[in-house]
Amino acid sequence: MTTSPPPSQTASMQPVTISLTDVKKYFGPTRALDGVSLEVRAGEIHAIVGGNGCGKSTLAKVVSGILPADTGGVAIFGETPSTPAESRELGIASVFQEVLVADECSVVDNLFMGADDLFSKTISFEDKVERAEKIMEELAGECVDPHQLVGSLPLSLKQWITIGRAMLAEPKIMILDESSAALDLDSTQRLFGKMREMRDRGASLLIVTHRIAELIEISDKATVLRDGRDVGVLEKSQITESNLLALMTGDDPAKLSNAGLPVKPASARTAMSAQGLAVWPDVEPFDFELLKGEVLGVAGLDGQGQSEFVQVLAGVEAPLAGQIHVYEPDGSKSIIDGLSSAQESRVAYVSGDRKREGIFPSLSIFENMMMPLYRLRSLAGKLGIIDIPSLQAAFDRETENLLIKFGEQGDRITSLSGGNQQKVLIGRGFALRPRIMILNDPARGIDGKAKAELHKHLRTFASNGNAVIYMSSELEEFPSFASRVLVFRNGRVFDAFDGDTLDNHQVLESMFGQTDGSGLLFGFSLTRSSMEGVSGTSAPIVQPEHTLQEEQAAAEHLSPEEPDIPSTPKPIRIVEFGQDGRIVSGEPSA
Amino acid sequence: MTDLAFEAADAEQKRPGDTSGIGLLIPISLLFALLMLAALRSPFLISASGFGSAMIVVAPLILATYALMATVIAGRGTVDLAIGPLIGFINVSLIQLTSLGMSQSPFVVFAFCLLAGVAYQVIMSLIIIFVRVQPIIVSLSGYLALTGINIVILPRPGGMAPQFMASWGFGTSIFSPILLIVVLATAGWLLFKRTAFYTHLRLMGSDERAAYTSGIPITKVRIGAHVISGIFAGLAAICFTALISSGDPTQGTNYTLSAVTALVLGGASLAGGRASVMGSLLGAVNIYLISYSLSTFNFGTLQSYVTQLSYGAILVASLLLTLALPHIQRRIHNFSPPLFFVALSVLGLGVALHAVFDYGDLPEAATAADAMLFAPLAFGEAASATGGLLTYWLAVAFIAITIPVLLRMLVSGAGRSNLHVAVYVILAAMILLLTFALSNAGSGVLSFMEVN
Amino acid sequence: MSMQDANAVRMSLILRLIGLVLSAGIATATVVLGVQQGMALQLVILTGLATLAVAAWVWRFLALQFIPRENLSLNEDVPLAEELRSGWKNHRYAIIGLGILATLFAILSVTVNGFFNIYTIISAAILLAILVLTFKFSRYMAQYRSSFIGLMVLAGLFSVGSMTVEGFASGGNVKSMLVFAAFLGLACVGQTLVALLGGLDLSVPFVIGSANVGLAYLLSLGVPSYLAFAIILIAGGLVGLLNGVLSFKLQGQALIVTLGVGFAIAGITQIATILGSQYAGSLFGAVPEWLSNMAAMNGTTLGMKFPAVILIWIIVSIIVILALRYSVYGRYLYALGVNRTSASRVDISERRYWYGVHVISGAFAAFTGALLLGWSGGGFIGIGDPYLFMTIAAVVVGGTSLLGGVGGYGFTVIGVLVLQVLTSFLVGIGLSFEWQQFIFGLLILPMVALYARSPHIRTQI
Repeated sequence: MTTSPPPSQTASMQPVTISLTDVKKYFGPTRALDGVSLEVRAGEIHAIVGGNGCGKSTLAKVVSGILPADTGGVAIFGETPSTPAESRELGIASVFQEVLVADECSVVDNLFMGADDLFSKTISFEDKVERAEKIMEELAGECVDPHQLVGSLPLSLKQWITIGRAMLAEPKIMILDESSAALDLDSTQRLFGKMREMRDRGASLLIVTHRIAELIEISDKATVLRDGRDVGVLEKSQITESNLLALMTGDDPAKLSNAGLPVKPASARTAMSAQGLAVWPDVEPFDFELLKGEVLGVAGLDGQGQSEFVQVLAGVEAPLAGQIHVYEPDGSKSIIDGLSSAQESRVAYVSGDRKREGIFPSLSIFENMMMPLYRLRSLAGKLGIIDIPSLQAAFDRETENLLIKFGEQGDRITSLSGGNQQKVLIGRGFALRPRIMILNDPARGIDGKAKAELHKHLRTFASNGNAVIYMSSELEEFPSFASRVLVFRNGRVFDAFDGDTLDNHQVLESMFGQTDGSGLLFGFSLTRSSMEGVSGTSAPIVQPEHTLQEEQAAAEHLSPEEPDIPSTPKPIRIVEFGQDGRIVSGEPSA
Repeated sequence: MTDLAFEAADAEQKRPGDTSGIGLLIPISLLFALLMLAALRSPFLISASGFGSAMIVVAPLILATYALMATVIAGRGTVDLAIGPLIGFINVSLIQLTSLGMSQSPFVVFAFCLLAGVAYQVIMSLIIIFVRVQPIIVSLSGYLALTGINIVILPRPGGMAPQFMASWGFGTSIFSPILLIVVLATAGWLLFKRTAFYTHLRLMGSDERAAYTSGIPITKVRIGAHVISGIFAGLAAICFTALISSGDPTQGTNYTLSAVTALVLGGASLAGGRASVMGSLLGAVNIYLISYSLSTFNFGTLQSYVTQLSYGAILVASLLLTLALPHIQRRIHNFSPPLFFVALSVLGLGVALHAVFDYGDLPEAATAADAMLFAPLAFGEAASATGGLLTYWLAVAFIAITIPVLLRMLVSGAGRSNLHVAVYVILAAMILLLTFALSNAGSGVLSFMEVN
Repeated sequence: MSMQDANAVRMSLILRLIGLVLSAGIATATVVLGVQQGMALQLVILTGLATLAVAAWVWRFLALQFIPRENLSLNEDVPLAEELRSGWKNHRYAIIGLGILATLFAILSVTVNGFFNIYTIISAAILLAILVLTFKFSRYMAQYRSSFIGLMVLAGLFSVGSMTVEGFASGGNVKSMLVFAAFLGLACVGQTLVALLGGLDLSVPFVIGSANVGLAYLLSLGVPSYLAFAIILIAGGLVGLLNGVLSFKLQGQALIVTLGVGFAIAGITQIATILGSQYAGSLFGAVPEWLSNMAAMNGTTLGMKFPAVILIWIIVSIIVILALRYSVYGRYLYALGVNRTSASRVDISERRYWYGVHVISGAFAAFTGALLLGWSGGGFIGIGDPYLFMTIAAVVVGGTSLLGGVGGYGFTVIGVLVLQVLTSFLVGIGLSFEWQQFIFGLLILPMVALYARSPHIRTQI
């Protein structure tokens, strides 16, 4: 927006710097890259876009020489670097998703990491200090003592150090893999300015991102990946949200949408509530309520507190403030203050980060699913002998319900595909016979069909009087699945939407802070004001009011007996633009 | 102690980026506590021969600690448990080869020891890098294999060290070839710290993945770290051979525990990326002083077990201290190790003087003259002093004034460049004082021994 | 090749001829040697034939490995050079390994007097056969590969041992091997559990030594023997707890912490037990009858002529194996070892298990030390020293990964037996303790390399 992109004719005149042809990279059974071709020219900001697990990051690693391609041609200035050291020689600098800094070393050492030869320095130390001060000031917008140890710096500064390191190398090709994740909006704009400068000097920039709005702003060209293949190349003029989403999702939304309408709470009994909850420091606490029979979608840009929110509700992490209650069928309340109390209250947690906090790689499928049940169904008291027959019955039931395909139940879980692994983990959750299921981005890296099946199971689960909290980084999952959607921004709920009339554009806008948060005013919002009145079945019933589009679909919903409830004052009223000084005062588009 | 003082000055000059700072607080405090204890318990330490023999004994430990330090900085938890057996291995193979007629020229001996150390370490590094076995397992394996092969090479202690080493082990004077080796090794480390290679090494040790992705050739750097470790192991073996003047297949093994303890005590992080020469040096000296102090208590047959117990306990305690370090760091800002060192030196010197001061001789003219001699040098204000006793009290007064001043400087954000001059002046004064104390103590101890 | 399969995996004529000539050569050598050494003629002929068969079979197996599968059925006209080249490319490591073995054998034959005799050749043939068998079948059993290899090595070692060492397979020797294996096995219980969590307990030898001396000391004070035994076990458990608490706080440096604690404990025990006595390091006194009967070589169990320690080890092994397999605690231990974060999401307390395994480790080390007193009759602090590496080696050789979560006590039992038979064999052929130590030291590396290699840095980013 600030700089006009170079005319496309001149861009196409530029020499090709990166050229990939039909590159494949498999990790065991997983096909991270399944035939990707890509061409990047000098003086171009080229975006690699795609959903989670589509192979973006693998692609970045192949280009930067960290991972060798299994087959296919990688030519960067005509060569194929096989180590980062070689790619550095070629003039490639990379910034990876993970913030890679040496905590025990100073800022200046970190910035010039890899700049020196093995035995001799290429730049004198004084020069380094000077340039380090300069670049940190330019990038981070604040003075950083170059002698300070990096370990004591906040994450955003560490991220700047990795970016600064790449820029100081004055690369001909720079690869940025989700590098703005730890940066706020201002910083992102500064980064974009720097990137444009580099482009205008004739460097190629390869950015990997799933933040659509950012890449629309910055990129000159975009290659869209899906399931490890490149499915389309967009020129600058074609890079629009609809084009990108169409390419990124493929046919999946169609498959999902025939699943029917979202479940609606059959009764208005509360399943879970939270008072004065805070998951980020220095953020105003909020209240929250979950109804039985509800599928609650939770969305937000990466790292806006939504992940912490679901983890806190599941007892995985302790909240910074506030209390979480679960309502038993008999009306009594129990507090969640940890995993064991969550388990007692029949709250199950399923993480989408299977590798890190889900599976036990070298254990069998059976064990992976039944692990939490071992303790609950053990025989002989303290001796804790595993009750195999009863577990076997539970295992058979869950695998049948979830249609998990596997060879032998004794096979290692790693022999399964990602989707089936996730199903095993969900089966682990279901096996606990929960009343509330909390899922943290469970659809990560699983295909459309598996996703649709998962949604079906969860819907059935919810319609049986249970509740589901479903966090996802993929918006296209929510329509016709979630009964309401909460959008997180800056560590707290920013807006809420009704599932019936869910419009992904609005949710997306809300994720970027572009809505007015009016959703919080309505009945499908966070809590009902008359919480205290709840007593057994005669609880007041929520009227699902409708969004800004005044559609009427209330007929099949709950009886509108108490129409005044939605208009009662809500405990939350947030969202003014620029309230924390970080939100760009953009025009609300709605 | 002269040596240490120089090291402290050198540490001050080092790049501000290398903040070993607060980590040295504990080793320095411990050093002086132990020094005072040792000086009070056995004044013999504060004499030319006492210091000389201490140097001989502590040298292999210092060098072994340096050898460990190189690989520990390289990360991955590379604590080379085989360092002790490796020293033993070089020792026994040197002795056997000498007896088989290998040339005894210093050049050949040094070349053999260094090459043997380097060869072993390079093999280890290749296994760590290419077979990708955890370094600690590789070192365990090396420990076992070397311990076994040492006894095969030399079944029982014996043999003769090469001729030129014969006089090294006496330790009658401060300035021995051993001291030279230690000083050169320390200077070598300090020089090495300024190279690009050292920066690579620290970056790799602190975060190997970051180093790899930013194009540092980590394979070469890791092999380099082991080469350096091998060189120091070779030097340690030479000093060890000089110390025992023969071959011993089992004694070298003991260096593993004490060197690891010294390293941890010196504030190195076993996780990698952080270790300081000063810390390791102080750690090794502390370990020696602990066993020295313990030996003054005369535990009899228990001696070795008391030492063993204290090493083990200190190892665990200093590991636990690393947990507390961040909290201390939050409390104390602007900690300057050299200043702290100087402050405690003054205190230590006072105690040392007290320990070796021959009060009985005070009235005698010679002592008084001596006292008058050193007084102007040290303070430049003792001209009016007429008696030894007065000098003594002046020294006490000096100490009493200096310590609060220095402590004040220490606390009030000192440690930056404008204080260098003050530090050096005080250091110079102290070295003079020490020289005097040593020359004085020599005779003092002699007379003490005559009495007995 | 005479023994061609029905499903016709055919070899070229040249390869077959080479094989035939080679095996004939080896067989002839065997026969010549046998005749030279004046053995009975039937025996010579029998062993000659057996060697011929084994050699031919090994050759066939190897040669088949080197022929690319697709070439087998397609055409037989592949030039030999091409065949060999691709064979080399595919199997260079196996060939290099065999070459090294052959060279080693040749060197030993030349240098060691009397090494090159009929027994050695037959032993080598058996070892080779076992090697081939192991490679052939181990690919079919992914999960239990290490135990299979272990068992094969055990069988090979035992047969070779009984052939080359006189009295190797005698009842007495087997009994003594089992007794030592029992001591080692009991000391390994804790080490295995700690390794399953991804740690290592280096304090084991010191606790063994301390328990040994400590028990002797308590007995010499006149403490009733059963009470003294119990005190030692509890003290061992407490030391384990200390290890657990300290090393849990210092996760990265657990090894060094346990080493430090071990040294301190050994020091304390020594100081406490010999304060005022003349002898440092060892303690003699009356060992109760039941204890020596339990552990000493001439002990009896329920009237049978073997010491109870063997029976104890068997029972403990069964309990530990079953507990690891079928109890909640066992499975949760694996879960923690495999993936701590996943385990914490299932509400498994890492702290509790970490403490628990260290307590068990300490208690079993103390138990071993106490039993060793019964075996030796006198307290000696250094008695635990060999166990530092033997416990780790047994765990590793058995196939428990030091990275955690893979393996089990059953594997360790095999590892213990392999090490014990190997030790016995090495002793039998006249190698001293130092050589054994050297060999074990070198043995750990390839074993760890088999089961517990760290991932390449490329895959960690």
